[in-house]
Amino acid sequence: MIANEFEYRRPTTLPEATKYLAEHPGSVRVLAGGTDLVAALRDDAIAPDLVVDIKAIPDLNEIRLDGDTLHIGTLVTFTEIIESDLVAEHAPLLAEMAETVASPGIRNRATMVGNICSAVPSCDAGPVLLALDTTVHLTGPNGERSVDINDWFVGLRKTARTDDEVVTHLTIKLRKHSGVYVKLMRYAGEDLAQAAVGIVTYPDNTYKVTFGAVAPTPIRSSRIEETLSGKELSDELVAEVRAMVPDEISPITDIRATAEYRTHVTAVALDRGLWAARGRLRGDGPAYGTRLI
Amino acid sequence: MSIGSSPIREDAAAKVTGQARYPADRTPPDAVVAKVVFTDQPHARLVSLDTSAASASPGVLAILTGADVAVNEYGLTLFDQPVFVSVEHTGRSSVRCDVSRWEADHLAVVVAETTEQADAAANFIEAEWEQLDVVADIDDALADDAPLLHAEDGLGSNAYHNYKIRKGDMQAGWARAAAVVEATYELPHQEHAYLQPEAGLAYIDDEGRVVVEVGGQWTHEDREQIAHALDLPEDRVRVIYPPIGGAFGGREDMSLQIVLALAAKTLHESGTDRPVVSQWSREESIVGHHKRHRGRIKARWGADADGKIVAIHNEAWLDAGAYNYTSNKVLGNCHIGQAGPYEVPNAHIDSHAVYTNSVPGGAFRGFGGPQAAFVAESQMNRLAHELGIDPVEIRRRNLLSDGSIGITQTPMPDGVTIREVVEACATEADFDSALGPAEVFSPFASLPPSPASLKRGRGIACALKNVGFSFGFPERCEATIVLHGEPDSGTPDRAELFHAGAEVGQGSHTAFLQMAAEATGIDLDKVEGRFSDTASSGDSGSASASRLTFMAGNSILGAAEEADRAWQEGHRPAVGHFRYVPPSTEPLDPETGICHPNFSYGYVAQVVELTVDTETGHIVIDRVVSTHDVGKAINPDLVVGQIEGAVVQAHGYTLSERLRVDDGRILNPRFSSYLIPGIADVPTEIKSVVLELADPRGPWGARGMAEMPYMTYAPAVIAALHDATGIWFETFPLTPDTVLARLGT
Repeated sequence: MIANEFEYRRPTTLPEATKYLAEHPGSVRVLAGGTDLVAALRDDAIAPDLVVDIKAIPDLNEIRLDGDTLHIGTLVTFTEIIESDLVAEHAPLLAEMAETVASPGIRNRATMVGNICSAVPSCDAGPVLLALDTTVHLTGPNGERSVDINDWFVGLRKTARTDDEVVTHLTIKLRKHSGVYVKLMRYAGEDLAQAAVGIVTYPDNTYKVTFGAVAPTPIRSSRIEETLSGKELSDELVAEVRAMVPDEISPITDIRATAEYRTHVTAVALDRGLWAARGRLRGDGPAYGTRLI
Repeated sequence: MSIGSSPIREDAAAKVTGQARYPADRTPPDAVVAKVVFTDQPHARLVSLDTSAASASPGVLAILTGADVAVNEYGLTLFDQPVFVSVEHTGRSSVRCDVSRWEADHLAVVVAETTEQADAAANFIEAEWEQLDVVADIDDALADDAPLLHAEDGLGSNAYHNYKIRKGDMQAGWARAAAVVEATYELPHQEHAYLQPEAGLAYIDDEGRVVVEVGGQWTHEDREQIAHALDLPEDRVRVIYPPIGGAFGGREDMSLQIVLALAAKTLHESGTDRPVVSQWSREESIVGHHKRHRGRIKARWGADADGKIVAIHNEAWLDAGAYNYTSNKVLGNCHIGQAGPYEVPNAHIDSHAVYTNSVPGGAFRGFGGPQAAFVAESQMNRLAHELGIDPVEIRRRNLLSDGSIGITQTPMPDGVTIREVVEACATEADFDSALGPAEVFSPFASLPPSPASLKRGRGIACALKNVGFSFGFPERCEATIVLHGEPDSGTPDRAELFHAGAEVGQGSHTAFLQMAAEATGIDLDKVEGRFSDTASSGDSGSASASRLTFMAGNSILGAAEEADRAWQEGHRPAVGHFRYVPPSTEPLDPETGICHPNFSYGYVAQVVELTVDTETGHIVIDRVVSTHDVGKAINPDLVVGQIEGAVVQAHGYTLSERLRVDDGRILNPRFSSYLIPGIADVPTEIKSVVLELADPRGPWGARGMAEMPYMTYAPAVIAALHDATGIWFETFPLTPDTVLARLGT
């Protein structure tokens, strides 16, 4: 039961939505899939005066290819990511990540954009979108703007979005790559990440390396990326970057894992993930969607 | 033959189509809602209670508190729990009522038109508390300066129930020891996690009785406790069990029974004749009912060079929580179970139930047996390892057999088959074969075929578990069979079975009907069941202690015989009623533990094979061979269902379920934070091996079996993990971080 009462609006246009959002600065929430929002309302973790449901706004649920750019609308659910032929062909890493999110029932409602707007440390989309060349597109009372994904996560559950803005879509610039998403969970059932690693690698032996659930926000490690850059993967090189992991992350101890365990398995996941990503680029890696740990 | 086959369950169609109406599905249109308000105080004295604002809240019909209950006490075996914590109360009570000893003690019940109104009104109840020191755990409870949680018992200690075993000559035993193994084991809580949270319905029927429809395990015991608290004759209370969404021991004690009855009666007396419904959320369910006991057991075992046990010295403490529930009985089971299924010449065992401000411990599949078996089997496997004797062989040298003297210094009931069970298990598991390489599958799918971090291991454990109530607790079971047919026909053409035995999902009613058909010679589809209503059935005892098939079967056999006699005498319909009473049992002698504790046992052995990733701590259970003597499988499919279900439940206990209790408060009352296994987590293969070696007292030779597959899983997994890694674990759940911390990688 939701104890706190709030006003509910269901606009049918973006300008209408941003107008409502601007009415209650500091006490307004956007409703898309609702899988985070309703749980938080039920827990009394938040008590907004207004909830703006954006599901009636048309054209926000598209996945399409514009030249070398993948466009993903703000209402696209994880299930739609998993089932999309365009994603399978151009960014299968997104589907690999989406398959690890919660359960089918939740994935049918939860949106990928909502996941990075809630921006909890363990958000699965975070490490993967950080590892891809992602841009977040928003609209607000002052018009449209875009934010590089590297500037998106600004703190625990905080993003670059202001209260009066709606994310309309993401764009991902495509170039030849392969990737890996490794998610550690407490069991094979539905669970949030204990730790997660996202890796994207390119034919020129460059890398993007990201982590989830081991810092206040999803993070990217430029030090590890630089150490790997331009080199063939080797046991020595992997050992070198594994040893860097403790300095790159700042995990906490909570109900899902201890800080020590998170640090240890993040290094294991990085190790196995790097080999898997290189293998996928060569064509002899594990199929997308197989769990590495 | 109706028994020995697996007809479709009598309740299957209704349950798979959604027609079955569980307690939460039975809300009449004119029902009012009762909300139970917990104190939310692990240990505090109630200074004042003001319900006036709540009473004035919209939609409220009544606020019930301690002032409204005639006898403010209840409990299955001891009246040590107040119905309501209250500043003052008008009724009788043998327990101090102004102290909340548990966060889920009841403060009040709000009766309102709607759930929302009841919830809103509950927020207006004003209670002032004086905080008392919280006795968080066993260590706190046993400290010299610990507050006494039940000073009224006059014992001067929170260790309120204690048992001893004194057998043989310990000194002589130790003198013969070639190997001694010693460890302190820490056993965790477990939540029952039944599908259906507590719910129920109460009303006054045409005969003026207070009727409660609720999920439970023993209709007549529920009735007795309701009648006691409301100070009513038992025949003024009627308890009906509709379909029940699982129990596992978790419904053996009161949840909503008394408060629902009280609400319906109070409304009726104030002129409002409306049914009352109540339902707990999952969080309320997990916080509000008892758990499998956590505990600590110290064990020191010695064996001679041949592996024969020469002495065992154990001391056990179970955390009873704030109230006894069935802890004294669970403790007894745990007490004698610590000797395992072995001949032990010399033993010194002390066991204690300890009050704390934690969630009460109580009945849960195995009833103290699993904690004991974990220790006994871990100790036996350690002895085998120390002495370099194969774990199956060392058991051959120690196992009980017919005529053996048990740990309570009396002969075992005839039909001891643990030797046959262990041999069959070892054979079916191919225990002496080499383990193959680690299978590459699910969580390890993309790893190289033989990664150095994967290790495999195999372990065995065996156990006995009593069938039926122990230690002199009154044990009986009643059945009534009515045969219908024409006055001049030679054989009846249909039969009715009246029985109170609870169907908690295990398939008992299907088995009852099969046994009734077998006993009367009438086709199964011509036998109708009338179940679980105190108004029409005699006392069956509870659905617990692996007793229902054994006890109900014997009661049905007797009732069929009586009905046949009536039929032969020409009665139409011909009614047969029978009350089966098994051989009597005795309480433990306070100084030596000498007694006849039980009248029947079931026997189990399990082999577990696992793979552990030593780099992550992840464990996959590859194979379980679960071997049972069930005496006679009345319904073989249901037997396998019990084996697989129990293994999965024990899997959660052993590998993933960790209840977090901090200063008397449960921190993770949800399935997102308390992790029961999902289908992808359970053992890859469960092989059920069912032996049918008759119990001489069982109906058609049947023994109980529902708890037995649970008993041995944790120690078998621990043994397999030792086989894989060389490390003995003294505690669980074996979550990856726990495992990795011990492996030291």
